[in-house]
This record gives sequence, structure tokens and C-alpha cells, in this order.
Amino acid sequence: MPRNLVQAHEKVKGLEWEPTYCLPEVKYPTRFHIPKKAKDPFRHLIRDYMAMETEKDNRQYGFLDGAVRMDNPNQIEPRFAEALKPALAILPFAEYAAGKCQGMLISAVDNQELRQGYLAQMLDEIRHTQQEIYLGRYYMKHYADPAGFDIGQKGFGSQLLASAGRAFFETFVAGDPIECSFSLQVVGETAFTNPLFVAFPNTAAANGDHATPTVFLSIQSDESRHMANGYATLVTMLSDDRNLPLIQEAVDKYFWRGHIFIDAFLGALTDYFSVHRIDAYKNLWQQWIIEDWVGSYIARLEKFGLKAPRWLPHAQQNIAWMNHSAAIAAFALWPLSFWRYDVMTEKDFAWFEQYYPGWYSHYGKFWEEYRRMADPREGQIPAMLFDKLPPLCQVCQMPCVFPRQDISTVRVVEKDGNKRAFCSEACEWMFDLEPLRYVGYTNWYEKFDGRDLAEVVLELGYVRPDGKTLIAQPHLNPEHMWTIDDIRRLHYEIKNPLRQ
Amino acid sequence: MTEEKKVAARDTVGLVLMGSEEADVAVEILQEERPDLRITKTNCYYMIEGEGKIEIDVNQVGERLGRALDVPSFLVVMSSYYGRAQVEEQKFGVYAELLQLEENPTGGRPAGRS
Repeated sequence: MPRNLVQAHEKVKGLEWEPTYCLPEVKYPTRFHIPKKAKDPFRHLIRDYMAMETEKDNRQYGFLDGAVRMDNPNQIEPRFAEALKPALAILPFAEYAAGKCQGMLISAVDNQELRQGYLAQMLDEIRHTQQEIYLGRYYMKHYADPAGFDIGQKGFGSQLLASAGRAFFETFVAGDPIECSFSLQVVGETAFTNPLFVAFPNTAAANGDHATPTVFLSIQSDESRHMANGYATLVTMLSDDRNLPLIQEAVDKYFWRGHIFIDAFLGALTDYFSVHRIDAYKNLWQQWIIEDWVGSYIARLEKFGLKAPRWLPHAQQNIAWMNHSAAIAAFALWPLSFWRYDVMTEKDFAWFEQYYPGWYSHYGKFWEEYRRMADPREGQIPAMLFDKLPPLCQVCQMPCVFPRQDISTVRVVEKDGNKRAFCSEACEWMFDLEPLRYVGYTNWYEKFDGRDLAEVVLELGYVRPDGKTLIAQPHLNPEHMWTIDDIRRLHYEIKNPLRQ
Repeated sequence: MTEEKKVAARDTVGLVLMGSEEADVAVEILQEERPDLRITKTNCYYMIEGEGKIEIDVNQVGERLGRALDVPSFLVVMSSYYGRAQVEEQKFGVYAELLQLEENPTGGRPAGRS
């Protein structure tokens, strides 16, 4: 007789027992009050879960095997291939942190039904770490310019802007375990994985990359269950009124943290590394974040006392410009990367002006200069166009360039006797809530202050196997590649803009 | 600068099915039974959106495919959704209601608040 899923799930829940041979140990204390009653909408059972994941892996790895035979890795637009180098370097850390978060939740949440979902998620996160590293390996082995894929994990650890990714993803695993669940499952996975693992693959496919959609859509099929884990955790916490202010604070904090990193990073990859664009990132954001996450989810919770994230209006102001400002911060210091950039053409200019009216007046001159400076014989990098580098936010570690240079929300203030920069009112608010969490962070500029750019590039290992040619290049042209000698000739000193 | 505005709550739900034979059949059935749904085929997935709820009878999908299909096997191609998801014996659904907080449209008992 076939097994009944609903009945089997009910039966498995009944197998829980309270151990009498040891005292329960609180490993991860929480401020939240955790009710006993909870539901897992996906009714996870390990036997079904294993069969499902095996099928997913068979389909994904089967495709990748066949794709190599068809030389699919070299049908990708070279500009888009470069986007995968940072993306596939940063994401495994997020997955690993997400897996650790499940360990914290299993320990902290005394509810068998939720724990079953967390357990499956922990296994998922390990799977995702392997999938993303495998996808990087796939391109490293088979793509025409593998430099950068080979040092992704090492490169990520010390890259200027990747520090911001690490700072955000650490919120999955640092602090109160229920807050980590909100950062990861309610905000990160329910709001931001859709632009990343659904919309971005659509752009990837348009740019000749069929491996990333295959892997990312498979990952996202697990994220769907993680969204349900987040929802189950949220409604469970919401059923005790004492938790409401804590839930609100968590949603306020982590929506902003997700927005400031993911929207800048993914927005820049989507708009500046595509040749064939599906839509502007700000429109994808409007669809997936505002309409679907806020409109169909968070706004419906208002009658239960939860308000929309406090900083949502600031994010709505940011979104039209922030990825352009982030792109300039990244492209200006291109030698400090382990991927290549491309020049923006007249066709790109027209697209930007069409989708972001006013773009040329704010950014056009930079991109014209960038194009000129792409040739090493010019002897300049675009960072030289600016008097000083933008400071890094003490909370999110993003360069303080948002939403746009002329209307920047940066604030440099004295905190405990030190000059600190914040990209926004929201990040300063977060610092004041938990200063000890952020004061000890030594940022990238502080580590490399006063050093020559060439020395730093060598120390970070961002050179190709010939020991001279940089991994990063400001263009995709196989001719006129920059070498470390070109960088030495610049005599460009890294200066911490907050140097006392 | 983008204008900020309050975001109103809505009943719209959505489902993303990755391109596959299961998705082709599920979409075929939904087009027959729910002509109100908005279904878009992108480069690599179907985006299915509608008001209130979207439910997929996995038995029916299996019958048209000519092989047995259970819910976990169908979830292999269910990439994403927005709304509240719920797994039943032979059905996968996404609902506008806040399951456990509001009335449960699948007939289960709402958890209610303490």
C-alpha cells in the first residue's frame, strides 16, 4: 500500500523524545520567546528529501557533462563570463554560513517540525556550496580565459569589495540565532534569492550561459523550502506578542543589509556585465522585491503588527542609482580584482540612458574616460580621476557612494574617539544599536593604507601564471594586456580616506 | 530619483517552474483550468502568476506524462514562488493567505495566536 505523506509526517513527529540523561544546554542564547507550536509547510521527510535531491543532482550534473561535449562553456559572452568570477567566489561563503545557521537553529529552536526543515536546509546548503564551486571549476577547466576562476576562494578573502559580501553573509551566522534566521530565511532567501537565482539566470541564458541557469534554478528549488522555513519561523515567533518588537527590529536591520550589498552587487553584474539585457535591474527589483516580497508577503503581515522595513523608503530612493555608483567604485580600481571588466560602448550608453534617464549626465564622462584609460599606454587608471577614494562603511563595508555622488548619504562621525564612516542613516543606526559588533572590524583600506598599488596586487596574488600579466584587465581585448610593470609605473598609493 | 511610496498588500501569488517536461505539462493543465493565470515563458523557466492561489495536482501531471509522479518528484522542477507554499498528499499549492495566521485554504486547522 502506498505511503501517505501527510500521515507519515504526523507519525515521524511523534517519535520525538526528551532526553533524561543530560541537561539541555543553551549553546546559542536568544532574546526571542520560542513557542512550542509550529508547522512545517513542506512536511519534510528525509527519505523523500534524499530521493528528490538525487534527481536534482542527476539532472544538473548530466547537463554539465553534455554541455562540455557541445563546447557550451565557450558560447558564453566573454563580458558575462567575467561576472561569474566574483559571483562564484562569493556565493559559497554565503551557502556555508547559511548551513552553519541551521546548526544554530536546530540547537536553539525546541520544535521537532521546524528542526526537520532546518536539517534539510543544512544539507541543501552543503549541496549549494559544492554546486557553486563545481560551476566555477566547470568554467575554469573549459572556458577560454580561466584566470580568476582558479583563485576564487582565495581571491574573495582579501578583495576590496568582496569584504562587503562577507560582512553581509556573516549576519547569517553571527549573533542571536533567530535574528540569523530572519537575515537568512525571511530576508535573504525570500526576498533576494529571486533576483539572484531566478532573474539572473534568465539574463545568463540570454548571454549564452546555460550552465548557470541549470545550477542556479536547481539551487533555487531548495531555496523555496528555505523560504517556507523562514515563514514557519516567522509565524511561530509572531504567535507570541513579546516577540513583535524583536521581529520588527530584525526585519528593519536585515532588509537594509541585504539591499545595500545584494542590490549594488547584483545590480552592477546584471546591468554592466550583460551584452544582451533582459531588463534593467531596478525593474527586476520592483517586481521581485517590492511587488512580490513586500506586497504579497510583508505588507500582508501589517494586521498582525509587523510593519514594512523601516528603511524601505531609503532603498526605494537608492535603487535607481546605486548599482551605477557601485559599478564606478569597482571599475575605477579595476587592478584590485580577480576578474576582467569591459569598456562600455555607445550601444551600452544608449541602453543606460533609455532605462535610467539622466544616466549620461551623471556617469557618461566617467565611462568615456574609462574607455580611454583601458589601454596601458595611457598610463592611468580611472581611480586617478578622483581626489580620494570613497570611505568604507563601518557596518556594511560598502564604499560610501550611495545613491549617487552628488546626493550621497555618507556620514563621517566621531564614535568612541574614532572617525567612522557610514553609507547611510540606517547603517549608523545599526552601529549605535550594537557598537561592539562593529568597532573591531579592520577595513580593507586600513590594512593596505600607504602601500603601492603594484605591491598590493602582487601580495593578493592577482597575477596570471606568467607572474607579470594581471588577472584583472579593464577590457576584454587579448591585445594590450596590463602587466604589473604598467601598474608600478603609476606610482599609485592606496590612501585610507579616513586617515587621521 | 525614484519616488518612494507605500506598498499595498495584494493577493497575487506566483510560481516559477524551471523548463522541463513536468513544467510543460503543468502549464498545459493550468492553461486549461485557470485561464485567468498570467503565464510567461522566459529563457529558462515559466513564470506563473495569479490571484488568490495556484494549485497543481501532481497526479494529473503524472498521468499526462505517462508515469507515476509524487509531490517530492514534482518539486525537483519547482524553482521558486511567492505567497505561502503548502505541500499536501498529491498537491502543491501557493496561497495568498497567511497560512497558520489566517484561515487555512487547504482545510487544515489554523494555528491561531496565543
